[in-house]
This record gives sequence, structure tokens and C-alpha cells, in this order.
Amino acid sequence: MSTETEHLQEAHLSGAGTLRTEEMILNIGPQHPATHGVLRLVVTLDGERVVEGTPVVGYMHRGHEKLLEQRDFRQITNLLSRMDWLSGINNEIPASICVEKLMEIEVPRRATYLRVILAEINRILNHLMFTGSFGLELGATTPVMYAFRERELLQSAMEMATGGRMHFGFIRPGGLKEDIPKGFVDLALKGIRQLIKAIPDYENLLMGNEIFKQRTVGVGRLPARLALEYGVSGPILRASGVPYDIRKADPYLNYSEFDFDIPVGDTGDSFDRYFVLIQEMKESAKIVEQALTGLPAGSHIGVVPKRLTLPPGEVWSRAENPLGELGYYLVSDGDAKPYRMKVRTPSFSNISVVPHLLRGAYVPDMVAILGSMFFVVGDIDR
Amino acid sequence: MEQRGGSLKSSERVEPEAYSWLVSLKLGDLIGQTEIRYGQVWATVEPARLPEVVRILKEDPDLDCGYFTFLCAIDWQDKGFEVVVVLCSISRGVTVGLKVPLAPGVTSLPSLTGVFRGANWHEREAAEMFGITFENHPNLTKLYLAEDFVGHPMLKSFKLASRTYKPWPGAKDPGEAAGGGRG
Repeated sequence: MSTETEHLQEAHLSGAGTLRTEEMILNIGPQHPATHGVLRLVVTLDGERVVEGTPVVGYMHRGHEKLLEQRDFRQITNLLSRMDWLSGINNEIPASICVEKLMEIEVPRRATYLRVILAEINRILNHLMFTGSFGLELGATTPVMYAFRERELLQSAMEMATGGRMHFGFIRPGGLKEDIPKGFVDLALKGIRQLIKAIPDYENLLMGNEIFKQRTVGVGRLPARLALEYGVSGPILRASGVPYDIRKADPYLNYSEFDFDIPVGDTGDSFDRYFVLIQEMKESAKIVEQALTGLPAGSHIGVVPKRLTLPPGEVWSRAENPLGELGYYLVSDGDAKPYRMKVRTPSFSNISVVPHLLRGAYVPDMVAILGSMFFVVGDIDR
Repeated sequence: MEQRGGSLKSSERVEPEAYSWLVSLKLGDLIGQTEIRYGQVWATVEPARLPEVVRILKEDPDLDCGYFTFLCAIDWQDKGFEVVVVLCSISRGVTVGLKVPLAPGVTSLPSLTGVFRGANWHEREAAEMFGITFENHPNLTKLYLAEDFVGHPMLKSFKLASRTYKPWPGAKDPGEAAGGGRG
């Protein structure tokens, strides 16, 4: 046995930390079951520890901002619902608000209520998806079955109202494409009540589960200051203890008329992010119930000219997307198309902070961290 | 957030008008005239002064503008580029927008990554899409595009390929259908 091997063996046995290790670079993705969609990760590993983990994005870049410059203000609705494909309605709303601000269009109260209802149902659909997928990523297959059971009724309600299950294209400048059909209110209420009954099950199933806690408590801790510097938003920011929700901080539509709370986390770890996600569904359910019971009569769309030509000007408008702050910076030069439309998506900023969370984490924790960062690749790449 | 010796309480919300006045007071002639649009404070900044302005906005305890919302560029063609930075003060409840016009032919300005690390990806995107250089950026490589991609797709002079290769028959864009159609 050579001296070097002896030395290594001794160091290994005594755990003296002098063991010479080599770093390994591991490529994960762009297609890998642990990454939703085509996010690619390049991680440098030292044994089981991550030295450096860098997300590589762009495998789904469709050039939305360029395409938006080629289409008029009604056509862009359908492009926008394809960015974060889990929350189409929430993507469409702030774009219409931009146009309404510049053109000074008044939105009828019924349309505003319906927008809130659809946006919050869409938020629940999104959160249910991540409730299920996060469990799946940690090896628990039951939560996704539960989540999809509750999703189905609400998804049917969305389909009944909009005709679509994913890309709705339902929000128009001035209001909505059409009014809701008969039976929608009952179906949506039924779905919401079923969800409220089921939420304690989700909580017990994972948050009370010892294995789940071991995998998530203290894992991927995101300090509030770092989160703010990166523009992290949504449930991820609130899990770090910052009670920042645009529905309260800079109210749009008529969110200020509803009674709901902003759940916040404490330490900003993966467990807290999941905790906030589940609690937010309860709050959204509260809003939908209030809005459905108080739904006023009236028109579903305001007075909108047949041809939308915006006056020159700029407007920055934002909304609380299920994944965080979504906003559009619309620059108009007086044409029927946007001169420039910058899309600020939540997942873009949220994922840019990931290298900080991966540094020093263990390989299996990497999946827990990514899974709890709740992102949609279409929302990062646009 | 803790109290850091400013004249306002750490979580005291202020009206955009008052905040705009504070911004003018603290930043003086580092910025141009401030303006309130849709309840947001907007100001024009010269490119060379941008990092300093952003640093003061972030670190001054009264302004407390510590949330980096986004950075983007606009191609005004022969009038040059414009870079827009939007920050948010969560404690004060105010959004601050900075407009940074670049003179025609100027394609570089200092990076904000020294103040907000989160500016990193936003600057990389603006760099590849518009051909703008952010000085002192730690890693100004392509973000979305392939390494060997030639050109800057968001420039107005860069035509959308699907609209140039084979001409579409009839009216396809809004405004082309004169007097009729669904325009």
C-alpha cells in the first residue's frame, strides 16, 4: 500500500477532513423529471454537497416581447396567457389594466368582480398544482391525487365560464369576453366548498409528516434581505417573513373590498414556502366566496371603441400573480400595437436567486429547494 | 425591518407626493424633475449617475427603496436607447421608476449589480436583446440566446423572421385592413 493511500485511508477513518476530494460537474436537464419543464441546472458537486449550482434558462424562450410588438391590444391577450400557463387569467388582467389606464376606460363593477373571481380560482388551481407536484418531487405520490381531485371541479367551472381549461383568453380591455353562463356560480361555490373541506387533509398529509419535515425544515433558507435585493415575490417572499402582497400593498381591481389575510412564513425555508402556499388557498377561497355571493348585476364589459388605438404614453401596471409580482411596462407611440411591452414575470426574478440557495446544500435537498421555488418555465423564459 | 435612524418611522407609509418631495430633497440635482404618474414616482437620471442614485434610494432609511422590480431597455431608433429601472419601497408603499436616456450612438452604462445583485439577469437580458453593455457586470454573457447567436432581436431594425421569409397574403396586421376587416 502506498503512503498516499495509507494516509488517505487514515484520514478517512479518523474523519480528520484531510481527504482529498475532486469536484464533479453534473448537468441536469434541460429535460429532467425533477425540473418542471425545460429548466437546466449545471451543478458543481463535492461528494454529496453542492458547491455551485447555476440555472441555465432560455430553452423555452419564445420571444414574447417581440411578438407583442406585432399584435394589437386584443390579440396580445392570447399571447400573455401562454407565459405562465398555469395562471392564464392572472397574466391577462394586468395587460388589460394597462390599456384601461392609458385609454381611461371604465370597467363595470360586475366585470371587476368576475375578474377577481376568475383570478382567485386560477390562483387556487395553480397552488393545487404545486401542492401536488412538491409532494411528488419528494417521493410522496398521494398529494397529487388529492390535489387533482379538488382541481377538477374548479377547472370545470373555469371551462364553463371561458371555454378553456388552460389558455383562457377571456380578459378584454374594458372587461371580459362574455358574461358567465347560468350555473357557474353554483358550480364554483361547490368547488370552493369542497376545497375548504379538503385543505386540512393536505395539511395533515404532508405538513404533519415527519419525513416531509426532515426533508424541508431548514432546507433552502432564503433570508428576507436577499429576497428583496433579487426582486423575489409571491409566496416565496412571504415565506421569508415579508408580508408583501400587491393585492393589499397596491390594490387593483376591487381587492380592497374583500376580507382576507396575507399568510407569512417565519424562516423562509422550503417548509415555510409550502406552508404559505397552502394557507393562501384558504384566503383565495374566502375571496371567491365573498365575490360570488356579492356579485352585482350589470354589464360584463365597458364602453370600448371597436378599434383600440392608445394615446402615446407609458404605464407600469402590476398584479399579484399566483407565483409573485407580474407586471407590464407598456410604451405606446399612438399606434394600435404596443411600441414596447416589457414583461416582468415573477419566476424570472425568483429563479435568479437559486444559486444562493443551492450553495452548500446536499444533492437530495436540491430537489426540495427547486420544488419549493414554485416556478413555471414559460414564466421564466417568456 | 429595524429602525435605522431616519426621520420617518421604519414602517411608515407615505403618499407618492410626499415621497416624490423626499426624493427631490435627498437626491438634489443627481436626478431630473420628478413626476407622479398613476401614483408612482418617476424621474430621469443620467446614465453615469444611475448607480449612485439607486444606491441612495436603497440605503437611505427614509427612502428605503430596497426592492428591485425590474430593468429593461427601449429602442427609440435614431433617438437612441432608453433604460428603465423600477424599484419599490415596500415600507413606504411607493413605486419609483427611473428613466435613463442614452444619447444616440451610446450603447453602454454602468451596471447596477454592485447595488442590487438581482439586476444581474435583467442586465444580461437587456444586453443580448439590445446590444447594450453594462460596465462592471460580473458575467455579461447571453442569458436566453445561444452563445453564437448573431444580432440583437429586440432592436426595431431586427425584423421578425416569420414576417419576412414568405409574405402573407392580404391584411395580417392591425391597421392594414383599410376601412374593413376586424382591425
